[in-house]
Amino acid sequence: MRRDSIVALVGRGLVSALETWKAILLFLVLNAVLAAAFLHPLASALHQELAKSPWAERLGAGGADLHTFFTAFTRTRPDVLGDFEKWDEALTGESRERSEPSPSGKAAPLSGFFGTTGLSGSAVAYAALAALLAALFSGGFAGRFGAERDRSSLAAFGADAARFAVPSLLFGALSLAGILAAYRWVYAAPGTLYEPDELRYEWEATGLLLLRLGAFLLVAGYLRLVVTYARAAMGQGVTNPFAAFMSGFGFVLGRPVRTLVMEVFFGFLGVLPLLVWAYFGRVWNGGEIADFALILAGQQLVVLLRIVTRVGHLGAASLYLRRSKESVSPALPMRSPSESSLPRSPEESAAAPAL
Amino acid sequence: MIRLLAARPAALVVLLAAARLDAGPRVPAVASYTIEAHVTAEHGITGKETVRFTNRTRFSFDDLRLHLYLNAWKNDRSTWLIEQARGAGRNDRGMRAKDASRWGFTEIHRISLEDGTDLTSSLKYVSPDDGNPDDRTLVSVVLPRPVTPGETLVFHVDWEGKFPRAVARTGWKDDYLLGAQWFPKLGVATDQGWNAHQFHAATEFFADFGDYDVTLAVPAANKGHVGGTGVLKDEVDFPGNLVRVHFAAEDVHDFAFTFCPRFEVVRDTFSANGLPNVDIVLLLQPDHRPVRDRYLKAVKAGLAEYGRLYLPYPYPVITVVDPPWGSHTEGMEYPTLFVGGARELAPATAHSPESVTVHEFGHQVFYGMLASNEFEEAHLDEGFNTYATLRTLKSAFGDPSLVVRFFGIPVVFPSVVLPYPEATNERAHRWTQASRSDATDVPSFRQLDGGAVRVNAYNRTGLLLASAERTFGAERWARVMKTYATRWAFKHPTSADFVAVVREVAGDGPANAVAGIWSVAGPVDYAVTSASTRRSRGRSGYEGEGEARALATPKDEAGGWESLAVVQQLGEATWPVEVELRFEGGARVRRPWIPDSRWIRYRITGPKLLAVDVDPDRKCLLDANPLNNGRLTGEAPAASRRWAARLRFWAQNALEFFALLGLAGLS
Repeated sequence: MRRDSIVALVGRGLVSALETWKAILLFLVLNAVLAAAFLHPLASALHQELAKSPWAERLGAGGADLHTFFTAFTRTRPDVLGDFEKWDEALTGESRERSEPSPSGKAAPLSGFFGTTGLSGSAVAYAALAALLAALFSGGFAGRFGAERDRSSLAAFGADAARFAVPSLLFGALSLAGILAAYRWVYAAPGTLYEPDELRYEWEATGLLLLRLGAFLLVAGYLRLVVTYARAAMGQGVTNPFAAFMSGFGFVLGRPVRTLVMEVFFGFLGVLPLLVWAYFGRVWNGGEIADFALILAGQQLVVLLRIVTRVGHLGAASLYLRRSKESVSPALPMRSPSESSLPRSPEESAAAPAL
Repeated sequence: MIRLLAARPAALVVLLAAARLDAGPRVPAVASYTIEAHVTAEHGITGKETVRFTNRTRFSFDDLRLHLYLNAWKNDRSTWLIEQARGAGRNDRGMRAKDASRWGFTEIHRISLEDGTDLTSSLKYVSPDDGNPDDRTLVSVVLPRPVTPGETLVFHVDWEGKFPRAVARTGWKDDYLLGAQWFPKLGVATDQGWNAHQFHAATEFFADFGDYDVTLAVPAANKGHVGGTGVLKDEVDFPGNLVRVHFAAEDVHDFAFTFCPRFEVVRDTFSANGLPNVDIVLLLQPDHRPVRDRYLKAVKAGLAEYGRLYLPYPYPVITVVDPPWGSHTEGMEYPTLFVGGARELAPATAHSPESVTVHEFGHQVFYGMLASNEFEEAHLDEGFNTYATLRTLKSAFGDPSLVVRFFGIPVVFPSVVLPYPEATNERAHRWTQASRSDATDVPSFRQLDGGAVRVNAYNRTGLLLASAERTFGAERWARVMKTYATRWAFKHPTSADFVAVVREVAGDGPANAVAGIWSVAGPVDYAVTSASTRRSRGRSGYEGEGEARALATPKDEAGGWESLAVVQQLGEATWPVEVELRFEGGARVRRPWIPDSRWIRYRITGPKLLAVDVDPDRKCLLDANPLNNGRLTGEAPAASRRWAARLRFWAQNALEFFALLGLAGLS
């Protein structure tokens, strides 16, 4: 197998990710804490509703009672969930017919996401927080992948995350803005140019919808790729964010198919654990603590594997970038951060001999 | 046997012409129509009709009231479009576009009596419902002398019209046309005069029975692909690249037709013991071929179940129209013809097109034969039919599963079962909790908005009848429904007529319960507001008198418990529910709700009270908040822990998803 074949890069990327296991575990913990905080109002409301209710017994039976409980819960406690209509629309591409038509007959494509009540109201804030964390962590991961050693060192990871915080956040903001713009202009805006009901056949409407979705995903995928390779370049010593971005852009532009295939490969790997859990995972019965611990461990393993996949993509990108540069100028290997004049983390300073 | 006759239209004509015409009872005709009309390729229509009106009331009519329904789409000042714009339930679907082909109208050029007397100059638009001077959907024509009881008046109308691009109920899309509410049509003659309303966005129709003889000239491309109310008598080529089709229908109160050159004509026959045979004609869109058999199975389920429980279908043929994508005519009913609706990708577990097919077929009973006033009492059709539809669907197809369409592609979640009738009634509960604008017995067209009309007409009445079946007994309730349907067929019953049948068959309690729900806008909501139990204690304080007076100290009495529970009626509407008290050791005590009580307090001494439940068997589906119907005296946190843990995991993945999206992403 060639060293820069996609399978090899994916495999090496995942191995690189596992080398940063401490940081990945930290990210998992933060993800779990964030999720618990996000879900707390709902968990608390469920407890209020169920702790002293005969519905607790009935929910085990499923069927009509399960459906009745959750529909009644969302109806009688709108303060807890809020309005997820816009999220639903974004995830399914199916818009509910609105009883109050807007002047244009269509809702603005990005309106409705910023609710003020319940979980839907806090969803954007928590998503932004999760993304912010991810952006900060990505700087640390990029730095570690750029380094030849100490990949598991949390201190070195922290130093890298701090060192690359500003460019990481810049890339994050760029990615966010780019993907929102792509959603607005590549997916939503073309939808205003035609009326699905005026097409002769349903398959035409479905085809156009999928085409818009495909175009959006393609643009979003390339945006992610550019940012990923820009981060990888940053980790390998390109400290100027603009130069790193251009480096990433140039790299993806030069290898549009291979980088995209890798993106799809990692995307599939990322979803796989969730699908496996959705079909085979057990549900805690609310009783035995040992069962709970086992199921919780399984759930966290699923999230962990997904995080490893994401980090692995950055690792693979870093490796791919390095290999490409090595093959272009084998006599002048790129200096690793430990060999550069950049400020080093205390752990690196201790480990590396003074230059 | 199913025969696909798309390629052999001539054979269709022969077969349909041979169909029986005498299956149904004769109903004394009040308004019969002979119509000749030409429908152009541009959806224009010119027609002449002869109307034979027999006054079977005690009222003398000094004018005629004619509906001109297509004027609902004449301009945006019509009552229909005004009501729709303020929330009757649909957006304007492009009506406001500057495209003349999207608008419709009807215009009477001449109206005259049989002796030639021209009445055209006395024609006047009237708006009895809202006084809207711009509404043109109802017209009054003054007669030279009144039509007295028992007298028959024959008059002729020449008119011109145009079908709109369908927004709802009638119109065209591409080469498809559903011609409904298309000709000048009399209101209903009653002992109090005309019952004739303007066309409203959220309500439907009301008409007298009669016979229809309709000849249509339509573009020749549709030859062999035309369907209509009644029986197709013949279909012949006609000069001007047209085809002339002739339909006849008896004992009906409307006439609708449809054509589309793409229709594939599928023919089948329904036969079942004790029920008349019925020819089924399915006009199918070619892209919906995969659901052909499901349409037929659903129609047969309707014919069998409605025939057994309510009324046998008395007409020789039923025509099922499968509309094309985006037609906006889905789910409409006309005598002996109805419009279904199907998607190209239609998982069987979603029960589509089954649900719309059974429902629209069901209107043949409640709208077609009972023919109540849908302007004023829409629930007598839609609500009764909703109840009957869900029963039929459940018995014929079971409960559906959740199907979510992701970008047009349906994904089935087989583990998420959506039970009939509970799963279909969220809209009713939301409305009764939030709006409470109108009681069901407020005339439908006068209710606040489309939401109020739909909830009262469909779900609330559907829930009411399902609750009555569970509360008063399935067998007894079946007798109520059967008696009502058979007694009032072809007689335009009212809500009062139904309540009288309930009283006669089931008694005062059920009748009062039904009438009570219809008369209140608010919800039914019973709740257990407190439930507690503790060990019985001996008396504390002084005991005895004089020298014998001693201070008793409280102490637990072994084995005994004192329990207290309060149940309250929080909603405005009432329903005969039971309260169940469950005790340790498995004992259960049931007590009926005390009529006219807003609350009941139970003090119980004896075994330990575990739980209190109002309506423990969930007979009252009208209860807007079933979650407060029960209370435990102890805590059972397992369920909330379980669900919180489950949801937390999915929240973790949702947050992780933002990294996948790359929103300031990780990779």
